[in-house]
Amino acid sequence: MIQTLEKIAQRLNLSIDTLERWIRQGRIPVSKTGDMGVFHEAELNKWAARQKKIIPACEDPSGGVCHSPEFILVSAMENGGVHHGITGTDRDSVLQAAVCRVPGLSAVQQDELFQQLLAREQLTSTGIGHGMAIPHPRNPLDKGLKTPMVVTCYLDNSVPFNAIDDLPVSTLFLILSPAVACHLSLLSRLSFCLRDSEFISFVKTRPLADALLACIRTKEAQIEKKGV
Amino acid sequence: MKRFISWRHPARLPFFRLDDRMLLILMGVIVGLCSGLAALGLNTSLVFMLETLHHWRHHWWAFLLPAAGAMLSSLFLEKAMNEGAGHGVPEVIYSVSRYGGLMRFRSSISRLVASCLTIGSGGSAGPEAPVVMSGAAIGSNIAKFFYLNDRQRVTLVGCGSAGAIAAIFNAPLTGIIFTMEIILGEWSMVNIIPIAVAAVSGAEISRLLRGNSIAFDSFGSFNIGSLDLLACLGLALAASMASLILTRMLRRMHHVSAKVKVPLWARAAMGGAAVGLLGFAVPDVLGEGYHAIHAMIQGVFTTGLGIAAIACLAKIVATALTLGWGGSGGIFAPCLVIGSFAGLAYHRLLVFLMPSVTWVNEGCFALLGMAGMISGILQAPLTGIFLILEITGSYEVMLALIIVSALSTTITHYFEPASFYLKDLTERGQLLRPGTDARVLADITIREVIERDCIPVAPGMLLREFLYVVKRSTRNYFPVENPDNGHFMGMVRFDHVRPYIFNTVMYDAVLVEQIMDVDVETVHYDDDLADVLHKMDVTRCYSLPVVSNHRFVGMISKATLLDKYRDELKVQTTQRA
Repeated sequence: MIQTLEKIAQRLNLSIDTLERWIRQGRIPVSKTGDMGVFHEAELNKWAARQKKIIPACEDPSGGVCHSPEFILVSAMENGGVHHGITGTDRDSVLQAAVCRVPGLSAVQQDELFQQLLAREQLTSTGIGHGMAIPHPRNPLDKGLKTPMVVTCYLDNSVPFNAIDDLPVSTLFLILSPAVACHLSLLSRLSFCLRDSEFISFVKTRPLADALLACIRTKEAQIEKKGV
Repeated sequence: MKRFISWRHPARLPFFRLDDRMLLILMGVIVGLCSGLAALGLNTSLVFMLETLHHWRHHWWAFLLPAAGAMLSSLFLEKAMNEGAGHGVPEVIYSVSRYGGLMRFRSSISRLVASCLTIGSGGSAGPEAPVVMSGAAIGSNIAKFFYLNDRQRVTLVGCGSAGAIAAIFNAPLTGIIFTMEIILGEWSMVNIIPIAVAAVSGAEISRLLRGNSIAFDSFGSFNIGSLDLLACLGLALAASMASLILTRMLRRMHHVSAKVKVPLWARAAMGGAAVGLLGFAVPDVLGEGYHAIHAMIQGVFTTGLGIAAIACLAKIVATALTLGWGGSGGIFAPCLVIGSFAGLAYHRLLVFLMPSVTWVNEGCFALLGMAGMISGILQAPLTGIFLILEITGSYEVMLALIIVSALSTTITHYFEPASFYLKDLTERGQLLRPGTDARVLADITIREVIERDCIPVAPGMLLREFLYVVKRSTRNYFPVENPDNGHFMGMVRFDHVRPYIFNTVMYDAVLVEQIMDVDVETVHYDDDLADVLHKMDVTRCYSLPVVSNHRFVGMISKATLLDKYRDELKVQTTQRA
């Protein structure tokens, strides 16, 4: 089998200098022709096993872990969608209504999600002031969620939410993510946006999906630039 | 793609690619034969020179012969070959451990000619180390010719030295053991078989051309009694004393001759003339001295205690004069001669002190003395034992041989921790045996362990901006670079900033240049990893920046180093089964 030396080094998790030296010293069953390495697949695997070196299988190195890619918030909001006309008179009923708007959940999952959201609210309110709330389950959902999503819900009428500034809440950003790292990243970016009073007043005008996403995109571009 | 494999690339043949043992065995035969031939060539030309020069030995100016020989050999090495004097074994060991056995082609004849001139003219030195060097160079160059890799080349270098020793002594086992114990310093199955094959082919070619004769046949058996065994303890002491004196005197001569401000060839000539003068008084010190050994082993050496002791000392002085002043040759043969003189003198002393006791034949003591001397000087007991067994063919003295060899090695080691061959290497820190810490560190280069994921910052940055960088970084170290020319200015260690990062007042008040360490130890690409680690230990740092041409290139950290170090150690120590 012939591969470039870079590929082999990457595969064995070695630096290319080490690989070249080992080939020169005859410590690895690979021989060199130009900048290509020639080896026998089984023989190399046997060697690696003897060195107790773990060769990661040739797949996406990140595995299932979601490490914040660029514009994760915008894509999550696109996934979740922007929903108008959520009805309800108190916290529980608006949450229930919001859960029904989450795309791609079965009835059982909706119920489970609702219970988790309630449990989280009982801990402390997720109302972060200025009429905004970011309800989310404590643990990432086990099943039924491949990509992170933020479901934006405009409430028909404000409901009391036990928020820190005691103001009734009119907008929910329901955060659902497959992994904790992802959740933190979404949360941090969303809260960065919500610190800006201009953005809050913009959200209170209940913009449509396109306008809201465009605004979020400019915000997130700032974040990317600064590295927040 | 053209699927053509040249005959000069045997390692690329599919059959050898998976398992090169058969290839190494085949090559071992070739190398063994070549180095055996080289050894025989030196032997023959030595005999020729001795016979030619024999007619002139009785002239009054004969002491000039060794001088001329040593001078020519020094001139030849220095001017024609551009190599240093000496026996060459340390060079072989160093090349094996550092450059994968890479040796110059000219090394395969340089020592042969030089030592032939020195010894043939009467200098007190041995032909063995030169043939080891030449055999090793032959092996190395055959490996180079066939484009073999470092590991295979080292094996062939071993094959060369084993073949040479096997051929010159007609002693294949000694060839194997000498190579394993001294040249390679490791016992591994992959190496042993090709080296054994090479040793056998070296011995075979010697038998084919010279006849199968034991070098110093003892004729008749020695009956060793328990008193003789007891006497061996004293003999071991005597042999180790002799080897200590020889080692010390050689070094002293080196120092003395280094102070004489004359060209190297003149220095060698002075040493040679001194040996020649000594040769008038004690003729046995001249040349490799195998003739005297023959006589002693067979018990026909008819001198008294005094003469034997003086001969022993004179040989030590002559050897030190020859080798220490720039002659070329090995220590093996002089050791054998000194050892047998020491054994003989010891025997005479015993007879003198206790005339009523019947001791074993004096030849036996001469033989044991040789073993003690070789083991003491080389600190390689197995080499001593097997060499004496094979060159004398006296298997009945095995027990006494082991006692003397082991004791002599131990006693000498007590005074001289490094053997004659390894002493210079150890002092220069160049003894890198496989699988040792020094070797692992020597093999890994800075380039391989460098980590390049550090984010540089500018000295004018505010703490607030710096914290944004901290957020993005995965590391605790931040190099500060001059924004104008990109030169490295210092490091910011996250540890040092930690107390301030929660104090929001300081965010806009503190600049990066106020929190950076300016006088940081830095490392260069070409530094030795051992030095780098020493620097880390001294400064108690876990990471050091690598700076090349005033620019920051990356970090070296102990954590990553451990990873690479283990990889390297595993690769070096697990053999290809």
